[in-house]
Amino acid sequence: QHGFQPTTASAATVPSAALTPSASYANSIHPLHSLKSVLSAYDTLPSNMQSYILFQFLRRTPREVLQFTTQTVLPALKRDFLGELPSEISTRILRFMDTKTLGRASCVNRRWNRVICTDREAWRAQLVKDRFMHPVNRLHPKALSRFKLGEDRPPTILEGYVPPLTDSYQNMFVVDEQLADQSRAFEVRSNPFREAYRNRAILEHRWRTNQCRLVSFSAPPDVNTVTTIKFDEKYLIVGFDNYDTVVYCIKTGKMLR
Amino acid sequence: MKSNLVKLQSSDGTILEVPQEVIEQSKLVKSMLADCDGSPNEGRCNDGNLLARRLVDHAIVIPVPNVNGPVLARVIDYCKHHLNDKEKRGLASALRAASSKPSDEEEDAAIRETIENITEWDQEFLKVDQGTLFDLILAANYLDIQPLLNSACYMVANMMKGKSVGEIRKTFNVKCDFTPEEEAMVIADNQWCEDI
Repeated sequence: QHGFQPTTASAATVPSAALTPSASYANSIHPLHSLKSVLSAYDTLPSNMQSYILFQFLRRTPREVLQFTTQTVLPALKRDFLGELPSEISTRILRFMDTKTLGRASCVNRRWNRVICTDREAWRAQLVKDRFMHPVNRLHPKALSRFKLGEDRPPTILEGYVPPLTDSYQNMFVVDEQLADQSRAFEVRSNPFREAYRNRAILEHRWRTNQCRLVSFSAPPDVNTVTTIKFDEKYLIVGFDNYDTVVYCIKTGKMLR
Repeated sequence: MKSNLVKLQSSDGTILEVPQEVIEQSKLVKSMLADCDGSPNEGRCNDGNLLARRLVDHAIVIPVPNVNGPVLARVIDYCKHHLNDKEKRGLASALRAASSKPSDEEEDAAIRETIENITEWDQEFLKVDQGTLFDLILAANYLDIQPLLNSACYMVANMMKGKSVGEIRKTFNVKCDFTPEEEAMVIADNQWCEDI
């Protein structure tokens, strides 16, 4: 410990000494000359000794220089929480985030994009939180089957995807496909829960902002009551009280059969 | 049995003494101590690769090899402050604490609970540099102290909230490695998050 103290004390005066070369500078061995050996000695010290020496340095440092130290130290202490932590912890962080922040964080870099967009748990939690899904419910097996666990695929146009009404969404997918062809190295990834969230959120947003289209289904002339309906993303099947069954196209409202 | 002292040995060799009921908020330590109680007095008990030694004076030394001294001391501060939390919490969360692997639903509830119940003390406690927060998260995860882990993760998530992509990069000193085309692609892919 004591061996280093004289050096550290004089090291604080180094800047002024360096500016005034003089005869005494050449004659006596200036502490700056031994800086290299001081530094290499410092490197070999155990961490508690390093902190002790740093403490001695800092104790002697004026406020302005200390401010410089903060500027150096704080960025050095920054950590890439999503990139460096194991996935079981990063998923925990993601579960505390809202969708908007998730979206922005996905644009940070490749790693963050992969961590966020392939995290099923985080998006499942979002679905539950925003009441798009009941906690005990599962996604439809069809929605899951489009993705292989571990290599969640890019969201090209998906079967059953809510057809976008606005141009921006339509363009988005065209752009995606073109770009994906150009660079194979990086792929936009997603997972079934993120897709489900996206679809439901966009759908709900359209309901709220009146971006919906009325489709009317005209019944055959001789019936009064609908007894049953069944539909998927393409067809609407209606059963009437006279035992008639009619198939409609869900997009146009046209009677198909 | 109460107020038994447990010795924790950090990665840098520091030994910290903690009352048993304080450190039992760590489920890892708790299970190790439980194992220890079942074994013969001078015996060693095994939890994974770790050995807790019961010494002649009945004090127990538990090695915590991946947590350094200062961080371990902070974790202990946290546990001391939250010692009486269990009594305040309801039966539901006590039951939750009992099951080792939380289901999705329980985890959702734990997360809601953290958001609602995080105290000013916790926030102040977690207002540390990112390096320390990072180490605290790893320590809480390793020692299995769920409330601390959740609060710390909440703080990290909060550091991103309301920030733009560029600001997030700056906050965590993360480099963008997208090509301009790729960046346009991910921005388009996440545009809907902004619109809804």
